[in-house]
Amino acid sequence: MIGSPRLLRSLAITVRSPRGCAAAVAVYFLAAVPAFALTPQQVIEKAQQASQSLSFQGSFVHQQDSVLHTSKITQGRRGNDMVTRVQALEGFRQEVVRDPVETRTYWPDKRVVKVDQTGFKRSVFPMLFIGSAQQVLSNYELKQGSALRIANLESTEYELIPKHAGRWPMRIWVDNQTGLILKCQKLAKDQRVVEQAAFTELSFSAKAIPAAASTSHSDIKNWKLHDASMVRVETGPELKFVPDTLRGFLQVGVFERIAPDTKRPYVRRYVFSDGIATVSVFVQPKSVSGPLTDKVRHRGALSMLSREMSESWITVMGDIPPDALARFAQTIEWKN
Amino acid sequence: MEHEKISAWMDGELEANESSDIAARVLADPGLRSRWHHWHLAGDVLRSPSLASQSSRLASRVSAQLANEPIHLSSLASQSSPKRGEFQRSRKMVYGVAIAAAFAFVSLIAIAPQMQTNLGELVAGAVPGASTQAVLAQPATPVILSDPRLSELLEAHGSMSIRTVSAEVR
Repeated sequence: MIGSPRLLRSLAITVRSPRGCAAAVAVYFLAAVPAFALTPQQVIEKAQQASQSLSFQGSFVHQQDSVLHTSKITQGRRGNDMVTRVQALEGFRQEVVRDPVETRTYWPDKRVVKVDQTGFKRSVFPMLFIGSAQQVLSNYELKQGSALRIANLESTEYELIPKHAGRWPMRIWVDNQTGLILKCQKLAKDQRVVEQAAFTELSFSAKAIPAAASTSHSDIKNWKLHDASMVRVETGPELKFVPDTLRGFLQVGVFERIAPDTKRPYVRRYVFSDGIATVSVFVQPKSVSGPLTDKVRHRGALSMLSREMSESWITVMGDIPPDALARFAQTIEWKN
Repeated sequence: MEHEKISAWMDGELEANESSDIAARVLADPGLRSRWHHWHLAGDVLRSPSLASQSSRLASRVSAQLANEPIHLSSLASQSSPKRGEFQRSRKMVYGVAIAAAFAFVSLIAIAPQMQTNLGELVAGAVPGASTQAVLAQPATPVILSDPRLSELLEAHGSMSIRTVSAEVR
């Protein structure tokens, strides 16, 4: 049986362009292949296509250590673009609207809106894979597990077993029909869950989702606007480090933020990725900032550490275990 | 010509079919979409001077972009006598110059240090019970993330969470 009615309806409303059509066809035909028959590459590509081209709405929970957040997510097509809106359901109000051009974050209680046009793709549930399937599989082994019903959808579990030390093993549950990741866990060595996210309800709507195209806060007169964009730079000082401390990570970009008063860059960000995890090295002149953490700290699967490097302070943040991050951070130097 | 159409669309002066057409073109073209976004932002600033960017880079970028807009004589003026054409300006271009002037003014305003607020402070203050003192603790004890500088870098790094300014850090 090719695809399913639910998948057909969701894909139909996403097809607006040749590119959207190609993505929709890929998802639709991959859906015809039983989950157990998919190759690891197909599983990853299907999950990527689903998170980028499907329209859906639902709620999910995100847990980092003992902290739990619940959010509502809506994704839909606006012209040729997919727009994703995530609203916090408890605590202070926050809404994030992402499209290919920018990410806007609204804090209505404080009347603050943050705009980020950096354009760097991040791993954000349910879009877990930010690199190519080849890159992911060069760093992780994908092993199929058992079936489980999540958010009332039939799914298949997969383990992502790191091929190199210094990464979090992961478990993901993938919707059998659409390939969308329904649940994701990052595990410590003792199988303790350090971070996880999971849909509690999810629907692939048959009609267009206009809410995805707009924010609930269209009237932002008298709000404070914060420009959080960083500029990609192609030149400038390069870093070096001991390769074994960050195996399989590729440098994907260098970005700068310019201080409004001095017009000089006051923070430079070197970004590395293994296709799932991201490691950022922030470099700031000592004249601008001091060390931001006195020891390795972590929150869920995110670790961070500051240290001195020549006339700068560096702050390393990464989606990797704290001991691995510390080992990597200690070897960072200027190349010249 | 396209920019004038976008401007007319923003002012609600296009017919329904023309509106649909220009809307589709804006959505499909990142350059046009960026311009649309900037014009809306400029309009908000004109209507509300308190909406001033914390970073003058955004304001400067928009200002420079708008200031470089060519001043087009209307097609009608180009067919008329030189004297009439000299004084005729597209209403939209006058609007554009006014916006550029407003942004240039905003960019030149020296933001007093006491008025500069860090985003982390702005948002952290919205968190009920957020401590204003960073508490150094034993590794097993969670630390409330209150340093706005760290919050700024966390926001830039991003993570699976949409909340990066209120979480505990061990």
